[in-house]
Amino acid sequence: MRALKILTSHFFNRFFQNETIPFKEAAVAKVVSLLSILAVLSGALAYWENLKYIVAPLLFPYVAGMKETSWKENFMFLSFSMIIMGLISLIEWDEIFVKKHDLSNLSLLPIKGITIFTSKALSLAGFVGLFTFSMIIFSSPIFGLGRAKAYGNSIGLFLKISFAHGVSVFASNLFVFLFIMCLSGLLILLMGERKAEKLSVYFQAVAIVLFLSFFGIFDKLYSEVSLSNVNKLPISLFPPMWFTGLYEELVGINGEAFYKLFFKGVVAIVFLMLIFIFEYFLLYQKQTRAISRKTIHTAPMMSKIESTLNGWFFTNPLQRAIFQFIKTVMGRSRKHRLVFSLYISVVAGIFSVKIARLLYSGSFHSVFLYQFIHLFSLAIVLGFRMVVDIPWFIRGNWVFKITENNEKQNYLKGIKKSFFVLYLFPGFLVLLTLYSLLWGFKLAFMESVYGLLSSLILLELAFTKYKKIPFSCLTVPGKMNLHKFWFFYVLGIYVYTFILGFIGKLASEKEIYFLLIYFLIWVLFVVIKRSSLKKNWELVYEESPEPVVMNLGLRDV
Amino acid sequence: MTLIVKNLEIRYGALKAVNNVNFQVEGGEIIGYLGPNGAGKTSTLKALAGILKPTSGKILFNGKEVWNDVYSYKTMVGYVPEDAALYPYMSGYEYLLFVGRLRGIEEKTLKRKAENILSIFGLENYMHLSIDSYSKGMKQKVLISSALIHNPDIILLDEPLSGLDSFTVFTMREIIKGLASKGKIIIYASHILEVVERLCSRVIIINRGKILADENVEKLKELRRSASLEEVFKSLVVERDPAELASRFLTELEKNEGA
Repeated sequence: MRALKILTSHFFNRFFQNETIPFKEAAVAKVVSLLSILAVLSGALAYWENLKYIVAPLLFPYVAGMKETSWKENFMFLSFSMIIMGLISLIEWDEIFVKKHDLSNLSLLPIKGITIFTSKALSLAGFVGLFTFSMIIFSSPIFGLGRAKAYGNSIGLFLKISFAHGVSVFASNLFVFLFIMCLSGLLILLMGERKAEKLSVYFQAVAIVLFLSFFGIFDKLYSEVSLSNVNKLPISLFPPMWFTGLYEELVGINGEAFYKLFFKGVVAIVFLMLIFIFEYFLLYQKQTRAISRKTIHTAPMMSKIESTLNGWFFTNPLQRAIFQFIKTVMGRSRKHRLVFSLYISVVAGIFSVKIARLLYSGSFHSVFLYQFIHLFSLAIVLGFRMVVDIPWFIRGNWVFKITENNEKQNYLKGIKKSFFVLYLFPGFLVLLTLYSLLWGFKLAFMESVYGLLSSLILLELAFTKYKKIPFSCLTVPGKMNLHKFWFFYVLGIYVYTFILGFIGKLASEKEIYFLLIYFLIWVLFVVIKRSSLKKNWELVYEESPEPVVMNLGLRDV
Repeated sequence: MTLIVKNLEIRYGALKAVNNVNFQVEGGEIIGYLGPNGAGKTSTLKALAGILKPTSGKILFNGKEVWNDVYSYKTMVGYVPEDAALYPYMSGYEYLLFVGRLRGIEEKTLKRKAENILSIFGLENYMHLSIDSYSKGMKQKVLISSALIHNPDIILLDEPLSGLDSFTVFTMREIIKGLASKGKIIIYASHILEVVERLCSRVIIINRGKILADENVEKLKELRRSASLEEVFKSLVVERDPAELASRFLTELEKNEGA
């Protein structure tokens, strides 16, 4: 019992003390403030939704007509809470399952497997419960008040509705959490713990953007759902509707219309729970077997591609060292992957939302599709440029100082070549595949080459005066002053991508134009190359703010 | 091969860490560089490694001022810093490949060297594990290997044996002797006087940034009329009686016990 208590608390605390959420100091205060913000936000949303039921009866006695639509507010609230819970679960994605190193530590202690499972399950339930509690503490009474007002002021009804609201929020949150848990488990089972950990951040980032994009369809949903279509497709497949069904069943007012939806919600939760238990035990078995087996650590297989690259693409040992360093940091530092993936996922999110509309309307040659190639190239270059400025392990940097040599250009060449090999080229291959489906290979290829070449110009510009070794320099934050100039940045990005996209669209009419564009880009590339850093510059290991930045207070420190 | 240090001075603000230090080392010599904490040993070694520019003075290697072309000089130096951090998420093998590449060693030679060196140090079964799972001694072995992998002419060792097991200590001693016999310049900074006495042909004792003695070990013992290097060191550097300090410490412990 004591072990169960300690383990549950350990797993629970780890949700707030991990690499993604490093609440090491004043963890309780930070969690409480986070939950308070969520409680106030949920309360405010509930109040805003129920205002008409609370205030209107005083002003408009005919408010009774609103009775039939009042479940819609709960549907909207559940959609909101599920998105928030989804986002929270995605952030904690890596902490959901017991890890191999947990088991290798716990296997030394006299703790049964079932105790580990129970403590993990309790910590997960506690986590969902905690966030649900903060979401319902204000919102449930407000819902109770609103609907009780609409149906006559009865305390019994108030309590019943508040309870129904609380239960439906908990069930919907549990569903989202279980859904994301099962996805995480599936990824680990399919790819193995190490590979899944490396890739998970990209899944997380894309899923976060997709979840956020649901906010964009809130108004449409609200106006389209009605009591007559709740059981029709596609509304009936939308999970918040299932838990609105649960709410209505518990309240008992529109129970009949919502029975099928309520049933779907219950089945979904039970189904996901069974999958979770199945995945958990499968993983547990796999991990225990891996621990008990004597592992012989052999060299990770270097792919033929990598050996070839080391042979002819990275022509100098220093370039190879920089490639190795970038690959290691991006492969093993979650923080760096997370920042980089945010840039990619924003673009992926925009693309996925936009492409769905374009496919629906059949306009495959919209300027947006041409513009998107350059938006992608800009995001990937900017993301990389930002991420190399985040230090990795500063204390290890002495090795660069003692080995520093005069071939400084090779540090820069190493960075640019690594970016090309690791991100730019594979990224454009994916883009080429996608666009080939839309436009056919020939045009997709020409546009992709155009995008790739313009990315090289961007890359040159981004690293023109770069005097650092990636991930090794303590940088001064806030130099971009995003809080002041964000509008101009957004405008700049739009204008840049629109112009290049427009040129791409024009060129698509005559192939010869592409050759002219390629030539012009090549000329520009040579000019920029010539203006970049020459020999005899010093590597910077610690950035100090420029006096003008200090004096004018143009930075956030 | 000659390394000459002339009027070397290193300041950190108002603090003079190294004050007018002069010495000369020939190829094949193993110099013991001794001094209490804060004496200026590490600062001198950093300057000799080409990573800390002296405030004044000269460092000449084969007659050339090293700071005129510090990058070429660095290619000839191997430095084992005290308590150096290694990138924790690289394996020992990856770390050696990484340093070797930074040092400009060609790929084939590098891979062979990295594998063989780590095997010699008994790390063949651990070389592909990440460094953060290594013991202090294993990390030290990787550190030493990374300092020597490019076969440098000048070897600067700052407490190189710290954390190593006795067998590796014996091996390291033989390696250092072997390197000296090949004409390399070796400067060995340590607090373990017994090892220095056995290994070094000459010792330099430094305190508060100034050289107090620079002599052959035997001659130094003769001059100071001491039986061991430890006694020489005590007579030159130690200002307070260790026995008296120890007795005060023990008395203090007993007082606490009584309370």
